[in-house]
Amino acid sequence: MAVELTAVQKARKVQFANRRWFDDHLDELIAKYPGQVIAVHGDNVVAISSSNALRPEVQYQEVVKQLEGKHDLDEVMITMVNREPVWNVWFPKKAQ
Amino acid sequence: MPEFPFTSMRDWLQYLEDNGELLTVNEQVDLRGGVAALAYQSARSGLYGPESGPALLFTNIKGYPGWRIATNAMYGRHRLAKAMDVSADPRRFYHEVVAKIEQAMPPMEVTTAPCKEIIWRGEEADLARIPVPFTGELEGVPNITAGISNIREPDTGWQNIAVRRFGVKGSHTLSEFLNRTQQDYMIFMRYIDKGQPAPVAIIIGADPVTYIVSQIKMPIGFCEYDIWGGITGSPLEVVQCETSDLLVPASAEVVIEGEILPDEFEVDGPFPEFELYYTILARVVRVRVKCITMRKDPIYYYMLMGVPPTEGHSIGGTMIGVSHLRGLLRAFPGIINLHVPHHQYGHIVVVQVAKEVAKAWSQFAVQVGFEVMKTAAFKGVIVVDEDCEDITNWEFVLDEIQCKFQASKDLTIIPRMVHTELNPSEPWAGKWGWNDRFIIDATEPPPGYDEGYLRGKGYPPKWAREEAEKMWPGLLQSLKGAGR
Repeated sequence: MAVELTAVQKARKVQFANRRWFDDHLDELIAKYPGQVIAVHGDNVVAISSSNALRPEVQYQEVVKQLEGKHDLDEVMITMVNREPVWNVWFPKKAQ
Repeated sequence: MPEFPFTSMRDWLQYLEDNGELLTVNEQVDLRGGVAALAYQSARSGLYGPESGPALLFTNIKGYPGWRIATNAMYGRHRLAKAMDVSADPRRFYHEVVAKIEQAMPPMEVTTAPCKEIIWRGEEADLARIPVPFTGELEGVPNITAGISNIREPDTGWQNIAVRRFGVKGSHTLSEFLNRTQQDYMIFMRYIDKGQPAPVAIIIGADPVTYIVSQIKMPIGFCEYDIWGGITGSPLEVVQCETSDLLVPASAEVVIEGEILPDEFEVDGPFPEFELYYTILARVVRVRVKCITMRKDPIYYYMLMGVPPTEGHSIGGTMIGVSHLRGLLRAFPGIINLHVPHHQYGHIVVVQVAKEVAKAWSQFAVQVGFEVMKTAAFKGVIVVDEDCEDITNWEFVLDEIQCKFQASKDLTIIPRMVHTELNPSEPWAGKWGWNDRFIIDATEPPPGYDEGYLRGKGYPPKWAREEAEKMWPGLLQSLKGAGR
């Protein structure tokens, strides 16, 4: 049965895809933007804060400002990139 | 008006409304921060006292017609006490809950249940259709913060429940922050051994006691649903899931069914966790969602996390204390009470012990400390004796440290113990996931070193204090401005 989604729900599915792209390119993003806030949309980084020396909330405001009039905030995925490599929660070798 | 026992979230919300403790928000709220910010505002409005901020029920969620979201319904000890029908007085609260736990009884299985009024399978079971709020602006994708995870040990049949955090990573994909300090992680290891996916059911919007018992640490093999029966005096009604043999509360608002995959991972975070700061991006387990069942007009339950005070800290910290007291009472004589400050989520615990026992045992405080530090999210324990007038008041606890504690003899440090992988101070202990722990012994020292205490505390004469207490109300009447 086809599922009717609202605009917000459709936007959330776009956000899922943006997050998937972010996860798939994480090592590269960590190398480029450690500690910076970025926005991802449509397989691209569409906004980047100016410096990781700024407080996170200031970086977030910078990114939101860059997105104004260009992207729907419900669709864009905004997050902070790690400064360090991704941490692997410990599992037995069998699972890795 | 609903009364104890409250067997559904709806009953509990009705009780809160009837008693002026539920604020219904009909204005439209945005999931990108509106729900979290009002939960924060309410939590800060009265801290944890009897006048603590109201529970909230949102009726107009942007993009999610027909849904409601509730939060802060179990915030504050007085609400937890009401939900369990025990005293909110901290001198009695923990002891009364422990006594109820000892009356545990198994749940009762039923065949029809409100939680199955609506069933979404396959493509229909799309997580984009569930109104999961964001907690922080850097979260990336929203996280389910009040999801009670159910998992069953494949060989013994033991079902374990616990609140876990799930990142909504796709229409049918969740990340779950499972780590090695948790019982459900140990169960998942059994599935890894077998190379099989682990069936999991996530309950959102259970009755208050189900949330409460999910926060109590019990021994391996003990199902928390049995405690529900002990607390309420009647068995919890449970129903089997659609896709597994897991049992879930029949009155739950939403049940997400799926399986944890034994060899696939998801990137979790960043999320504003109970350790106050955003978490590191971490590879954790992946949950594949197969089915979602719910009640008609469902209520999504949200729990604020991040900087305290939050409902998460309130319920988690308080109920961890129950586990500690139960363990202590079984292990030692002379245990009087304990206190877990709400903001600490169990990290720092004050234990009050009988002076007579503490002085007779060698290193009694250290032994008490080791018993308490069985949980992973733990920093330290302060052990005081009955000289401490009020262990819930930090001023009185610090008085005991000032007068009885000598760091060279009374401070025990246990370095590099396993921790939550969420606390930003962990690398400073040597490695991410490590944490040092401390025990402060602020009890009276043994004979030979206790002369100063035997001289007694410096109060005004007892007879005069009793007189003063009687006179005081009358004297206050003559205070300038009295009665204004």
